[in-house]
Amino acid sequence: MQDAQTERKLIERAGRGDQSAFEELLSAQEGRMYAVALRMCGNREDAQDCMQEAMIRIFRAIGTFKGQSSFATWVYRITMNSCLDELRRRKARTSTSLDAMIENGFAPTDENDTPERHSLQSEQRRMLEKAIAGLPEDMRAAIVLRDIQGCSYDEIAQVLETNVGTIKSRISRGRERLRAVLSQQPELFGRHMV
Amino acid sequence: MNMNCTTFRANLDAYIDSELDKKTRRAMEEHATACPECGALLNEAMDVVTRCAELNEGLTVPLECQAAWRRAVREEAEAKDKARARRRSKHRASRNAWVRALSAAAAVLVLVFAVGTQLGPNGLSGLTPALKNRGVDGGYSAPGAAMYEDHATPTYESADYDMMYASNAVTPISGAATSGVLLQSDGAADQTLSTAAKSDSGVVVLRSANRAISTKEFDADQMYIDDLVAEYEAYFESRRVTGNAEDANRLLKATIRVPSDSLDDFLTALDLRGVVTLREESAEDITANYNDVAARLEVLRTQLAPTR
Repeated sequence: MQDAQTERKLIERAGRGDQSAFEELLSAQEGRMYAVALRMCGNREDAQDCMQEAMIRIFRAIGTFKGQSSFATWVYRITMNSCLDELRRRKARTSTSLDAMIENGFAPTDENDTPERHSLQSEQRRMLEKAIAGLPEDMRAAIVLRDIQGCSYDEIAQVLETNVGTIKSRISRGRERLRAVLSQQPELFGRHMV
Repeated sequence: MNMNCTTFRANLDAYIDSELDKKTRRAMEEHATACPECGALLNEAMDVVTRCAELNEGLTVPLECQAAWRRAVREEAEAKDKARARRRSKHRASRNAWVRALSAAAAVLVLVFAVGTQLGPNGLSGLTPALKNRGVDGGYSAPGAAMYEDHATPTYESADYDMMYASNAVTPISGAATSGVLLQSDGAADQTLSTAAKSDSGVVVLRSANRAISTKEFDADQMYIDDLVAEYEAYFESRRVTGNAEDANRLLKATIRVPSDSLDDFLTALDLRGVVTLREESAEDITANYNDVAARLEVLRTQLAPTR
């Protein structure tokens, strides 16, 4: 992670068109961008496309970034918008609902085929990812940013361009839905689920 | 605090997010111990959140993904350089008298269509109620507005500002495009952008886009728009600000023309400010009108020649 001063200098250089500065600057952000894109899109291919699209948008707009929010928040916002655009395009392309995709074996995960894949922990993880992918977009975005990425309410409100009250409501309803879905898998989540 | 199952559930997410004061937190924990059902709920909720937080463990960006975005950015940079070179080339070419004449024709078209767009329903009809609410009637009672009555009307809370803008982009003949902006203090702005361009096939297309953007930083965002206009070599065709700095309902409304090559970048940059409450884009084939004006211009030039 770059310190604030290094980040500021890289932003200035990237804003003047320095491509190597841009790549260095965004290298520190690509992990969180990919994580958000993966959880929002549910598969590696679309996540890669969204991340690429977000990078191009950032590259085009980096010269206009004036520090009105933290750079990470700004990057999150553009990444999330790319993902939401992709989800809208996906909806327009096909009438297949996410539920139907999940029914047909759609499983949002980044794991490669490893021997551990079928372990209990991997199965729990897979079920959780599936449950998150099944959330409505607005709830999913809030849950991804809060419970996976660990963003603050204020930061999430800036990223999703809405108020903190709405964010809290989406997170609360999203968590409730996740509990409801996972409680239907007592063999995997039976420890506490009622 | 008098904690029961109802208040426990109401405070559950605040507890998970460590947003409760010590006293309420302790009351929650005591209730969870005393009530098996709420205790199980708390464990369940904490379990889900903990598992979510662990999802990124071991997650790495695939190498192909790392390479892909870098490649895409480099290609974008190259495309930008080429576009810049093309613009410079076009500027040089515009010194040619014949090209100048064509440019004039295109400029007329752009102007007409920009006005049409701005007054038209797909541009500003959605904003009209908000303007009326603020007593700002910009005379945008567009003909055909009824066609768009089902468009979502942006809501303009007094603490916010809203911006609406439209843009048209066509293959550049004149090399310049137009956009309009309406900005409301602590509240709103409207923009209309337009650009005209002629493709190799001879088709002239006019693209337009509208935006309604709300912000709480009116002055800063107004300066941001000024910077954008300068950066993209655009210009304001019209611009009007109503209200003053003490007014919670300031409004900026403007029309901006942007070089067609830069229109998409301009829109991307603009969308990053404030809260976009309306986003519309459209394209229109104006080849017939363009050819008509070009032909009439040619006739006028022919008539003019003997008098020189």
